[in-house]
Amino acid sequence: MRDAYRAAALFIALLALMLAAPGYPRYEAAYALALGLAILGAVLLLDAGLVNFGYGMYIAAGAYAAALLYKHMKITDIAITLPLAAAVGGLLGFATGLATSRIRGIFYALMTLAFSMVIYGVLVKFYYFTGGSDGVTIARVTALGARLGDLHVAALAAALAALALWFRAKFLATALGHIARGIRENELRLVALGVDTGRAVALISALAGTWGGLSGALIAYLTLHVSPDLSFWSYSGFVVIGALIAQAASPLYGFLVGAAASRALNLAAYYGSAYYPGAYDLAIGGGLLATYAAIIAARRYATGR
Amino acid sequence: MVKKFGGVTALDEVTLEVGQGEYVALVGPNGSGKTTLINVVAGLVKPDTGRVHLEGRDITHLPPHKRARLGIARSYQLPQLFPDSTVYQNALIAASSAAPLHRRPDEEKVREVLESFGLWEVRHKRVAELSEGHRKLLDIALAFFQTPKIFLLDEPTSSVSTAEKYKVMDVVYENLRRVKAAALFVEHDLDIVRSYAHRVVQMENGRIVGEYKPGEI
Repeated sequence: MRDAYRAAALFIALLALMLAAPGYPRYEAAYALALGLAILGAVLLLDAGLVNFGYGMYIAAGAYAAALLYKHMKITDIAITLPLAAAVGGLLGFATGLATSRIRGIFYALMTLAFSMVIYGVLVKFYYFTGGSDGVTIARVTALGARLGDLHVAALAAALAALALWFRAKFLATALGHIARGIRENELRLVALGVDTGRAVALISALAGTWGGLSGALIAYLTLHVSPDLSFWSYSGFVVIGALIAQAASPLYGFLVGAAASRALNLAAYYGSAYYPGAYDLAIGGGLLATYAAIIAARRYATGR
Repeated sequence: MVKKFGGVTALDEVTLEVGQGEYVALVGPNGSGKTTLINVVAGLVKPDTGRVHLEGRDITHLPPHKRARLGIARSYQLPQLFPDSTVYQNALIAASSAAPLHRRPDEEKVREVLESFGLWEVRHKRVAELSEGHRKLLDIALAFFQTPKIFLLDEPTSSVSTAEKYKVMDVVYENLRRVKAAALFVEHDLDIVRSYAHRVVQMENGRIVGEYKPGEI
C-alpha cells in the first residue's frame, strides 16, 4: 500500500504543479515527465548493466503507433492509442531483447544503436506510410470522444509519472528486479543458480520498451508531431545521459531527476545550436563525459578510493 | 568421458558415479583434471565424448542453468559472489532465482539460510568487508536456495585459515545432511578429506588412478 500512497502523493504534487504553471513551462514540465517514462525504461536496462544506445527506437515506436493510427485511420482516442503504443514498444523491446539476450557490454550498446538506426532508416524511406523525414502531424487527442486540451495532456503525463513510480517500487522488490542486479554484478554466478539470464534480459527489455512506447505516445500528444529523429542516435544519447544521472541519483525517484536533467540539457543544446552550429552534438558528447566524470567522482568520494 | 583442450587431455576416459547422499572427495595434483570434471558435470564445459547422467536422466545436452534447476549446485575455488551487494542482498538475488519473476523472493528462506550458515550477524556487510571464511560460506550458502541433489565443491577450504577450515566444513556438511544431498568435492587438505569424505577418488593426468576409503589415505 505504501507504494500506492507514494504514487498518489506524487500525482497530486505534479497535478498541482501543472495547474499552477503557465503555458510554456507546463508544456516543458509535461515533456520532461514524458521523457521520464523513457528514462525509467532505460534505467531498468541499466539495472542489468545494459547501456542501450538505441533506446529512442522504442520512443519512436510508441509515437508512430499513435501518429499512424491518426494518419491512416483518424483514430485519436487515448483509450486505443496509448495501450497500442505501449504494446508496440513492448513488442519491439522483447524482439530486440531476444536478439541481444547473449550480448553484453559495448557490443550490446552498438547492436541496439544499429537496430535504432535501422528503424530510423525505415521511417525515413517509407514516405507514403510514415511521412518520411517530414514525419506526421497529428490532431489533438481525445478521450471518450472529448477533445483533450494542453492541461489534460499535462495531467495525463502526471498520472503516467505516478504510475511509473509505483511500477519502479514494485519492480525493485520483485525477483526480476533482484535478478537484474545479479546480471550486472555476476552473471556467471546467476547462471549457476539456475537463472536463464537471456530470458530475463528479454523480459526486462520488453518492460523497458513498454515504457518507451508510452513515452513516445505522450510526446506525440504534447508536440502533435512525430518525426524519425526520435529514433536517431542523438535522441537516444539524451535518454542515456538521463538514465545514468537517474541511476546515480536514486533507485526509486531517480528517473524524475534524470528526466529534468536530460530535458534541461536537451533544451540548452537546442537553443545553443541556434547561436553555435554543432552545439547539439557537442551537448550529447559533453553531457555524457560530464555525467561519467561526476558519477566516478561521486563514487570515489563515497568509497574513499 | 573425454575432454581435450587443444593438445592437452584434461579428462581421459573418466567414469565416476556418486550415490545418493554420498560424499566423494577428488584429490590429485594441480592440472590432474579435478576442476574440469566438476565443470563438465555443471555444464560449463562440454565433454568431447561421454555422457552426464543425473538420477538416470541424460543431462549432457542441458545448459548450466537447467542443470542447476535439476539440482546440480556448485561453489567455486574463488568465491563467485555479487560484489557490490551486501550479504543480505546476495541472498535475495539467490532467493530470486527460485521465485517466480513477478513475485518477491522468499525473505523467510533468506533468513533461514543465512542463519544456518552463521551469516545472519554479518548480513549488512558488503562482500569486500567479509573474511575469506565468510566469503566461502556465502558462496556455498547461495546454492542452497535451490534444492541441491548433488553439490560440487571446488576447494571449499582453500585460502581459509586452519582455524576456520573445520568450521566451514561442519556448517556445509550439516546443511548437506539436512537436504540429503550428495557431494563431490575437490580438496587438497587430506585431514579434511579423511574427516568428511565417504570415498576418495585420486586423479592424475586426467585419469582416475585410484579409489580409497578415507582411512586408507
